[in-house]
Amino acid sequence: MSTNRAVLRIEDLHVSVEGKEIVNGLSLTVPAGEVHAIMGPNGSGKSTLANTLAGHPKYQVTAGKVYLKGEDITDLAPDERAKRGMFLAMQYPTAIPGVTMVNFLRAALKAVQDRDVPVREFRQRLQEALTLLKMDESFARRYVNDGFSGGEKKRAEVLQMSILKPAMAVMDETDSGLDIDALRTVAEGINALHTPEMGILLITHYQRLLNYITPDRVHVLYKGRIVRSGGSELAQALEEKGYDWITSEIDGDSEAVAISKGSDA
Amino acid sequence: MTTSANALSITEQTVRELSRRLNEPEWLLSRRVDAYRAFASMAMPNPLAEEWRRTDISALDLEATLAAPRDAAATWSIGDEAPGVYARGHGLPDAFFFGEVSQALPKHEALLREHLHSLVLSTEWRLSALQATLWQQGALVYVPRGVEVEVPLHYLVSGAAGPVFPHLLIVAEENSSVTVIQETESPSGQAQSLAVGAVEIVARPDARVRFLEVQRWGDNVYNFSTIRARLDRGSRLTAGLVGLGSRLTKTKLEAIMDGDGASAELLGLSFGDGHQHFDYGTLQDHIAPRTASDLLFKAALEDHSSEVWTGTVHIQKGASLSEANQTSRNLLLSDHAKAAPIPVLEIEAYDILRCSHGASAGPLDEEQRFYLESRGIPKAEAERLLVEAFFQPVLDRMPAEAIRPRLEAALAAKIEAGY
Repeated sequence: MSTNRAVLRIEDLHVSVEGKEIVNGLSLTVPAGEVHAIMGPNGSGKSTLANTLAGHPKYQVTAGKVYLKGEDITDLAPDERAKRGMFLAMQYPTAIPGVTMVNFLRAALKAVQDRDVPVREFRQRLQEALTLLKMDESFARRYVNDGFSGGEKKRAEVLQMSILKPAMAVMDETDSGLDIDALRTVAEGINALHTPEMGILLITHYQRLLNYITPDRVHVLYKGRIVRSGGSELAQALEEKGYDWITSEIDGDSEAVAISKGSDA
Repeated sequence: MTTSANALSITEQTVRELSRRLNEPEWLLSRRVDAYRAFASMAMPNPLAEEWRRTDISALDLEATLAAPRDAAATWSIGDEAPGVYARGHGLPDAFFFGEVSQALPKHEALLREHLHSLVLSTEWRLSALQATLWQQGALVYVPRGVEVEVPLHYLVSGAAGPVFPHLLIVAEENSSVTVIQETESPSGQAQSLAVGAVEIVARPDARVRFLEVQRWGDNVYNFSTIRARLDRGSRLTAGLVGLGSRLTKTKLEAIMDGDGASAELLGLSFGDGHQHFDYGTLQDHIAPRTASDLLFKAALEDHSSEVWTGTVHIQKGASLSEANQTSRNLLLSDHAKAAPIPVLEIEAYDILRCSHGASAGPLDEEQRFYLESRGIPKAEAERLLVEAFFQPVLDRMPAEAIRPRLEAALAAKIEAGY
């Protein structure tokens, strides 16, 4: 197993939501120590991919496999994935009034590490994470994501990542809703957490996060498949030219048909 | 005519013996005898009547439960002190009383005669007549004018076996303040048993009364109780019910606001599992002007458990500038659990400030559960956290500080057992 350096391997993945296929035939490998970015226009299947990797029950895998550190996790429940090192920083974290951040984080750490974490050790981890993300201590006493601003929610996701120390972090639009200072803090936090054993998949619409975190590979997702891959220069090209030059290549024929049909009518 | 009166193991003679054994004065004996006669002449309620349509007590074997030997005890304690039959101290004046009714008789006979069964009547239905006939280990709380009792008073009723008939009377004189916690408990896994209780709360002008009932009867107990408060001018009531035990509970909680500016906060929290059934009937009765009431009832239901909440807001003609709110939230944790929240609004005054209500019933939020699970928290523990979170806001408002750790532990154990 030590020869298998891939933290995440996705093979020919097909995903449906409420009977509609959103991801069709996606393959991707993220080796240990690398940062990959998935970019794509709205509706290309980015969030579906992210939620599927975390095991959201709404997303049905109809074909294909997902491997985490060589183990097939395609059919595992969300908590089992998390225990094996999967982490999803969500685009829209859910508010849970009545559950404090500190109780939530302790329960999560205990579950992920499968041991009772001494209070002292937990406090220390929490303190380090708060300092890293420039967050006030009072944050831990608040209810999970309840009344958080957009920026606070995103920081709180990275805070959890910092405490749980996953093997594979999937970050769904973690840059959206952040002002420039918050973006820098969050990006620095992610960079500081990135170990040589860990894989990171950044899912983003814009490349501005990539100004702070340099990806090893950039993939363009369109209509549920990866249509192009390249180095960090690909993100730069997308920033300058948008997605059209890639998507029109793919759509070329079908769009021409649609237009001609339209003019007939 | 009822056919069961003679078949039942209690007779007028047993009632007279009970009263004699307790050294009760003549007026109390004759009240018990009157109540017994009412009981003997009444029938059990018609299961088709609106109030009983959703609560089925046909499996209650009244005869058998009454024939069982009675073994119950009550204790009274103030703050952290050791329980006794008569609790005092804490620098409270001599006129203050908290303890067993029989101990109170010499000094507070007139008070007892005026108030016992003055709010919860022996004629309301057959089992309230039974309670007024057989009540024992009753407690009196008497708070004299201007006295503020800072430590909570604790009334614990434990039933070891047989039927239990607790009674609690709270009289808070003008501008006084008191917190009373009533706990009921009995072992599970026993033969079918019966509990019928009454709580009467008299709040004089500007009195502040906080009442909390923690109900942990055993799993084969049929539990019926009525909690009724009469609120004088400017008085304030907070009344909380925590329902954990019993096979079936039917409880009425009623606040009668007949003094200008009186206010009532009614809170409920229940967790059902197995085949438990809870039936709460609440009344926010606005009689005087400028009265205010707020109700929040929350239930989480596992397995085949069920709950009915019928919440009536009655704003009477004279209750100008009053406001009322009621909210019922029900969490259905299994496909077989049922909740029926029924708000009833009767508004006769035309110049009220506000009257709002809301009721809901549904499963746990899927997204919240996924969020917790995605962080490694197993499904059952995620659900437990969410149920505790669901109860948190109502628990926070209950006068439960003194027993909070114990209450939270009991609740957690109950929720845990449900999974």
